[in-house]
Amino acid sequence: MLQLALIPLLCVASFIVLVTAGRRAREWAHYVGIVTVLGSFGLSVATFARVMSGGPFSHTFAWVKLGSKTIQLGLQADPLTAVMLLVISIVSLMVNVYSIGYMHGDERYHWYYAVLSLFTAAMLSLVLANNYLLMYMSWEIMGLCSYLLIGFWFEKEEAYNASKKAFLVTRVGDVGFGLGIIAIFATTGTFVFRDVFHAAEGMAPALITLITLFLFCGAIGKSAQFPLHVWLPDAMAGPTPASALIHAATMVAAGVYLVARSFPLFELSETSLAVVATIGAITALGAALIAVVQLDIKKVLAYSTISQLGYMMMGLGAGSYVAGMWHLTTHAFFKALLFLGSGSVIHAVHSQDIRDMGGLSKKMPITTWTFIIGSLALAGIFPLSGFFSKDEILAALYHKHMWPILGAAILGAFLTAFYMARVCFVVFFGREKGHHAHESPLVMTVPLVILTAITVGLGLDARLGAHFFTEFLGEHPEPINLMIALGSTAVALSGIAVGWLVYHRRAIPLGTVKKQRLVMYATTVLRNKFGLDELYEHYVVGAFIKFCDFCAWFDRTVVDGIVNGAASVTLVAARAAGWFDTHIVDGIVNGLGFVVMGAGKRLRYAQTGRLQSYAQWMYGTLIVIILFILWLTLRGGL
Amino acid sequence: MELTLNHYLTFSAVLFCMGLYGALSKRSAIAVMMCLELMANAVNINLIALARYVTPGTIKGQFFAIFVMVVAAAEVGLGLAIVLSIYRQKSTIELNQVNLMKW
Repeated sequence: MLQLALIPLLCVASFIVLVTAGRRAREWAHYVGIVTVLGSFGLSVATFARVMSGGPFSHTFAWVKLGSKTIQLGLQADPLTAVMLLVISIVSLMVNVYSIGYMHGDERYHWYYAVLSLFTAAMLSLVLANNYLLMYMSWEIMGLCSYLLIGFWFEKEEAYNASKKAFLVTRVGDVGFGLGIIAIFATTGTFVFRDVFHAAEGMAPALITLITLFLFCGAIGKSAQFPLHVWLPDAMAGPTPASALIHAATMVAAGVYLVARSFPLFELSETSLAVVATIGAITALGAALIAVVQLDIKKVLAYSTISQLGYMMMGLGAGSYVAGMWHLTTHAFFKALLFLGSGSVIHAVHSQDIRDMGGLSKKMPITTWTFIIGSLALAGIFPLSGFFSKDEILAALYHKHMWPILGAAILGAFLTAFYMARVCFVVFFGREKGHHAHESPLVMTVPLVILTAITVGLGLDARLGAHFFTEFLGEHPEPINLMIALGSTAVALSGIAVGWLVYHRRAIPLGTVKKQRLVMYATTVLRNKFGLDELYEHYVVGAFIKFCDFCAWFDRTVVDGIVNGAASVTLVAARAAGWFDTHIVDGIVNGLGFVVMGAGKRLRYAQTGRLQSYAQWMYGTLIVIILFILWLTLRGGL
Repeated sequence: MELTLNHYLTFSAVLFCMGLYGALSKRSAIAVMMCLELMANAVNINLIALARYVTPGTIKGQFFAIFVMVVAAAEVGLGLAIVLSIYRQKSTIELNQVNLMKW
């Protein structure tokens, strides 16, 4: 238990230390971040080894008892978790090291490391969780960290708007995820994966479809799938290393992980799998199309990430859990590599626009070559890791005979190769743009080299036929389908070739192509990202604002009317009460006083102050009393 | 003529009425006080006469009479002091000119 709990807790400790230290930590924040992530990495390796030798293990404890139901939380380590732990801790470690160079001298350096630590902790606990509740908590903490890091430079309006957008758009999906979890608890009475999966076997198919689609909503939001992908490109306003960690390698993969983790549920519903595959295909193709016309290097990578996440979803939707997870793993490394590489370029030329870059290969050799290897992996060129994982997905689609989706995937693969070739040729070759770029410091290049090594290494591993991951994740390896492998390689190579012809050789004059009406039209559509942002702006945000206006109107007229009406009634009642008080109540009191005073005024004349008149009265009265008594006596009454 | 209880009672009544008349009509405070003494003494005569004729052999009536004398003496002392004090303030002891007890 301790071993598993310590993995995220180390990073939580780092967060607490850095937040407590505040600005004092500006000099040494990275040491804390790196040492704790290194500790988590060590423990992850130990966990990985233990899972490999001894199989999965878990710890569950009763967290809280509500009525007759006990809510159990716990941690578990199985092959899926073990792989994710390694991916997260390695990428996080690299990003932590890289950030020393990239974030050097930033005003909120300490805060950056604090949030990075918190994010790592949340992501680690997400994959360690053995139940949906803990997973959801981690999921939301990650959402918060993503918001904080996108808006890290909140002085820039772009960053601040992007952070809000990311938070709100992902929240839409999270509502679905939350509903899914509630539905799970309502039907099975537990959050623990194993029990849920066990209980699901006897459930109505429609119910399972409903639950899995709800869960998939969460995945759509977090993994930036169509139609909620709009937040991810804007999220590039954050620091590049944070984008590498959160918006490329780990957090956005959490949606894929969620589907993979819930795979026993998804497997029970053909409909849900079809939905997952279709959404994945739409996303993969659409995002790849948009990436072709992007001018911002980070946005190209962002759309590429969306597209690749779509591939993972396609793999899962095709029923191949291993294909999806394997692509997640390889993608995490080469996309982190590409982002860090782009960060290195941005650091050198102080711009994100690829038109400001060119001919950087001579000035930044390490960045150039690591970036190109990453691009080749992304394009799916043999023998790099991307080739094998993408191949696995295509093979899975082929086996399931999902032809339209396979077509989309192949077209997407072509586009991926094309846009990466475009970026590489424009940025690293092309004409120099006369800036004084220089290679980044060692703290930035070493992580690039390490990630490149992993990207290549993961491929070598598979090429040797060990299919280590495949076996480890619990499926029997399938022999490489030669037709698919050759076909996808050919597609990728043709994509690169077209890119080379257009952007390097300039064999196809871009100027004339761009003047074609059809091309112009297509470019406009793609530049506008299929108009989705405007659609949301107009129909979702606009409708929401209209609704708000209506609410405001309702508030002003009806609610305020009621309140003001109540006030008026009260006022009238108060006036009546006041009148009653002054006239009736006071009238009685004053009247009494008046009567008493009047009586006194008249009676006081009896008080002459003359002693003898008093005595006369006294004796007069005495005589009267005596006479009265006499009269009574004589009458015989007394 | 033998004196009977009625003689004493009649005498005391006449004496009381004289005192009462004086007390109510005299203007001088001293005269009023003298009249008060008359009334007190009329009562004393009544008490002793009744004691003598109604309950012979006891001295309850006499006892009361002595009490009344003591009280009357104290009262005169007090009254004269008040009169003196009024005289000092108003330079008069005419009761109809003294109305300090007015409202």
